[in-house]
Amino acid sequence: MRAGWKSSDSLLGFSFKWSLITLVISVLTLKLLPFHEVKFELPYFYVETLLWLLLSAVAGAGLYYASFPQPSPRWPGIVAAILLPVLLAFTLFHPIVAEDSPSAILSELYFKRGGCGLIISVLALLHSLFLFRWARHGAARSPLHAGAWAGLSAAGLGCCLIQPVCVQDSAVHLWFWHFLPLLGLCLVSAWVARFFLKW
Amino acid sequence: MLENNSLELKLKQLFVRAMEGDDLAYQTFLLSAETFVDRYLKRLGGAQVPRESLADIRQEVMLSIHQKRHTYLPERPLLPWLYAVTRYRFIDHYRAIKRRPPQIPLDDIYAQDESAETVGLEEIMAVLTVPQQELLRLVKVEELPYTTVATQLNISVDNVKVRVHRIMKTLKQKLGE
Repeated sequence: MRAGWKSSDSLLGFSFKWSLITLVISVLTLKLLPFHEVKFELPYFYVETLLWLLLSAVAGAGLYYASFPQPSPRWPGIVAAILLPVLLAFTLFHPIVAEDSPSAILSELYFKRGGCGLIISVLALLHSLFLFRWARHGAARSPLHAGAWAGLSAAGLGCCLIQPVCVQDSAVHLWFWHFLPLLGLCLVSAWVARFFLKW
Repeated sequence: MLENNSLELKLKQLFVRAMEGDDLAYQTFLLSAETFVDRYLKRLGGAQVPRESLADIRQEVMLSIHQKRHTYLPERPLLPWLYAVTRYRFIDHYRAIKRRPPQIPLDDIYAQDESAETVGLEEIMAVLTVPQQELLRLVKVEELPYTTVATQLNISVDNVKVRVHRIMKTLKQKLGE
């Protein structure tokens, strides 16, 4: 008889680690970035933050299932496919949406307004390091999908944590500097995973 | 279906016992899994896949099963896990082959090289003068350093370099035509 081996984390174990890392990144964000307390008085802030967190968690579950060779359940894909358009549509109902005049749209395209994109990417990088490290231990049937899930989970968390920091509420700003970095991070993550999650 | 169910039951029992540290169960599992993998690979590849390739892939699959054994979750069925690992390795093997340049048997390469070298060298020497042939032999065939060649021919190192350069230029002109 020898020692045998343990199987990989259960979804519960993975969720615990995921939450722990999320907590650490949240504390770091809390210490490093200035929060705008005005936002805490707005009800949509809580809904949107919760939706981002939910998207990140669902993507985390997607990564969990994608990291095993067996066929994955479909629910993470379905939930994410519902949450993303909901979040996109939600930005249209922000109270300051009237400010999206053509000149405001143009000003949002200005490179220096992209601080949010940068912060989201940095926060996502921290989280994706943990996610990739975990997924590498597994055996993803499709590294591309696993990478995309990791990117979505990490960037989703970044988008969630940037909520109290970002002062811009215009839909254009959110589409350009929150959603586009999220999409970019998903693509980059999927590409990196092709090499990093190969087994 | 019934056969699959009993195989699932048998393999799962062995695998779970192996996870607990039963060496004999793990050996038996690997032997049974090998037969299963072999059958599935034949089904995946059809008649086109050569026997040597199948043996290679089977070996890779067995290695993957061992290396990634912790990714099997005991609450889930085992056969889909085995199918997935085998299919992944099968596809990966063929992707790697696609990316690899075409394989030429070593004998063919040697035969090509030998004929090219003999004819090439004769052709090269024919267009050069005797001193040039001597210099080329020392520098390119015997691969002596410029300093040694310079001492042997009693000329400066720079002179050797210039002469070699001229020879190469002549060869390019004459053989390039």
